[in-house]
Amino acid sequence: MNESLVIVAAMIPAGFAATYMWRALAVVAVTRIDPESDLLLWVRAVSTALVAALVMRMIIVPSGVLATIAVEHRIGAVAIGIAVFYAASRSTQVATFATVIALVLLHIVSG
Amino acid sequence: MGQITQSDDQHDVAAYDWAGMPSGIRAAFSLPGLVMACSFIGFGALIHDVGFPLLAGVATIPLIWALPGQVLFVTMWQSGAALPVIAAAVSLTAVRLLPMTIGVLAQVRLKQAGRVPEFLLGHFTAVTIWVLSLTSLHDVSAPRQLPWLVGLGVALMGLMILVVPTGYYLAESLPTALAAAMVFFTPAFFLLSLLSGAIWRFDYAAVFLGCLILPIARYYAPEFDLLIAGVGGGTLAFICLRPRRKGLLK
Repeated sequence: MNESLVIVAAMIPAGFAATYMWRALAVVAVTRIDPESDLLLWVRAVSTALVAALVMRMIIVPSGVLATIAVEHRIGAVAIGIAVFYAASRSTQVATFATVIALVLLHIVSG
Repeated sequence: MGQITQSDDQHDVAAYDWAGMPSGIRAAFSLPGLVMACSFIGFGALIHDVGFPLLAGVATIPLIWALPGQVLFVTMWQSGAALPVIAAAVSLTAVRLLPMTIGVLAQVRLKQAGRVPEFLLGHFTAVTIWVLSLTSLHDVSAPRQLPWLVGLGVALMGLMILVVPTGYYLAESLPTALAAAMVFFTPAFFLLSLLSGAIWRFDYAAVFLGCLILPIARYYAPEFDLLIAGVGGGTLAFICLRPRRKGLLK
């Protein structure tokens, strides 16, 4: 309980404010900013790469229970998921489920 | 994506019609809502997995309300990163909410109405709401669109607050492989959402370079791996493949 309170206190500046500032800025800017200005496109590229890096980190250096699955199965499941994504006319929903099911199947099949 | 179809006089009404909220709430119970719930079950399993307290994990939902930022906060906190480093990384993933929120607001705001409801909707805006705003607003009249999205946001937030403890306790009792599968929902959904939202070549380049630079950055500077891969990969993608043909976001 105490530990949670400490974390929530840290989360208000480092989580809430760090996130909401961009949403508030969007409300202020919506009347005058071009969503395709070079600055916003650069911002889009950086945040895309950052989320991609986060995904990569969860796949290659996972903590805990995901580490019990072999790394080639983790990578293989993602490859299958991407293939399904393009085969199923870019459906995020179908491909997300396919990725997770592929991970379980790869793990079971290889014993 | 020609979603701005309402005539301008409809958007000249001076007040929002909050009777639009209930049908927005119902829209939370849909396939995108289900995928979101699975990702949040995975998030619950993840916080159990890394030993993050459940209460603080649930608090990330109303406070941050953007899963990449929530996962970053939890994993960086557990790895003992300094608070300013956490804040910088969380903030950088949240920058994507700026163009997203502008896009959503540009569709639904009433020019003559007060701005306070826009700040409220801004807080709820994240990937799922953005997707549904592009696909589900056609039948909603202009003064009801913002309330519709706020209702959707409130309902999704409430659902996720219920779903995360479920994932947390399931992770305790499930066999290892299934618990791992639940945790895997989150990276799978993130990666596929990036591909699904990609419009220009530099979007794909940013995904590729972020993945490629991460292991290298991790080897040389483990504490800043995400920042280096994000800022470095994104900037490189932007410099090499800056789009010349615009007008695709509108």
